[in-house]
Amino acid sequence: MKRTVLAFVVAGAFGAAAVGCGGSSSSDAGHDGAAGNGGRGGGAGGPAGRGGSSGTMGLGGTTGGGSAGTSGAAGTAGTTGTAGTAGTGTTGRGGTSGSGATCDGSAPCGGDLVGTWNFVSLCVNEAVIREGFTIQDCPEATITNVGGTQTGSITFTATEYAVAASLSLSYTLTLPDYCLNGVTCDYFGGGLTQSASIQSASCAGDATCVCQIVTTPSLSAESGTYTTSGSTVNVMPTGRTPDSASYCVESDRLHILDVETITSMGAMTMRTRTDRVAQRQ
Amino acid sequence: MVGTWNFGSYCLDESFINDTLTASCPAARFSNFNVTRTGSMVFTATDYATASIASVAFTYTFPQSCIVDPSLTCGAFGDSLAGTPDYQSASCTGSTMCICQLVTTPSTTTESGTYTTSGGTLNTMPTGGTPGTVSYCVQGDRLTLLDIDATTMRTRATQVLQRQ
Repeated sequence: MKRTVLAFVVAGAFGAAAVGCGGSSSSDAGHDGAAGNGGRGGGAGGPAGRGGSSGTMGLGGTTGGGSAGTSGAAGTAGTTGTAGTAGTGTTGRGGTSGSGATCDGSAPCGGDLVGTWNFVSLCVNEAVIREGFTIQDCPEATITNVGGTQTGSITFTATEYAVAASLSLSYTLTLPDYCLNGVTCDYFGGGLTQSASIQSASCAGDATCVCQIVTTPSLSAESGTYTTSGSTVNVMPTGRTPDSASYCVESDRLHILDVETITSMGAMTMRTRTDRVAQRQ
Repeated sequence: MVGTWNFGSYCLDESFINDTLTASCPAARFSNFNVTRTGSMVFTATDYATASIASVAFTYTFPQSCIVDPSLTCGAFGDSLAGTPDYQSASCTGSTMCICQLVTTPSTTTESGTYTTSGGTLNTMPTGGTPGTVSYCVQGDRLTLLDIDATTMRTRATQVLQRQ
């Protein structure tokens, strides 16, 4: 059995595991917008050229000493990155069922998104993870205690949004010793830590090997325009494929919900895959 | 640096901005800058990501004689600015001196990549972008990013962030 484990795709709305590539320089303050020039009707000197893709310190140029302009040329928009990398899981049969987080606590309700929201928690539906988890020739391997950690923020104006976030998962992996291919449970855990996608792994046990695993945080940054329709937010990230998610604003809490429809025995039910909770800043 | 930081106050050196004015209207001045920036920066041991939305309110004062078109009044000049997508609001009043209160339209910024630190210097390598360098200081739950002019050693801008 390979020692690479885990395919966790929590690719909910806004590219939860994405790596973006954004604006240009990150050191210049207010240098991005081109100075106003070529203005309409002979102005007194373009006082502003904004809209540049500022970086860490940049603000989208606030000044412009050009003559007779009304505004500076907009800077180039930062491009966004590719979708997050899914972990590579080996094939096989899914784990056994069990109880876990269902993320059903909040339903889509819509609301006013404008403002800045700090991510405070992430609920990952354990059943969803289990369904996507398999280890070849080890059908008894199970995933439990799935937890998510997310930090960062998402800001909405009336028409635009920007999000930067860090996301990691923790979970317990349990598997019988015959799945270890003759190595000890502890050694197996050591192998897991060699994976770049695993931040920490600690395994113990004899007949049954139990591993506490935390994935390496993945960062994402994305911005673009958005619209809402009822309880759905539709995002048009710059340079990326449009996406949508359900959401609910409850007082100072924002829930961004990845909801899927499941058809079983002819009946359709809704299931929340992930619930990203953010607090108004 | 490791952690998540929310953007807080931003201080801009007005004199630096005014030094960049061209000779076409030397009496023009920018003042009363108020930068509003929300969002966050996230740092792991090797990577970073940031997203923010910022707008700038400021006063732009200049002699009406600087307006090239004599038919354009100070108020009309403000109206022309307000009609552009760059400004959320623009209002100009005055006769001899034209005083404009301007607020730029909020603009979004995103960036991510890898970074290193060396002493008090943060070096960023944004994915697909140009590497950048900025001075920084972490004091308790506060991160200060300083944009220092390499020639004059003047601090052009200071961005304060609070640990989330």
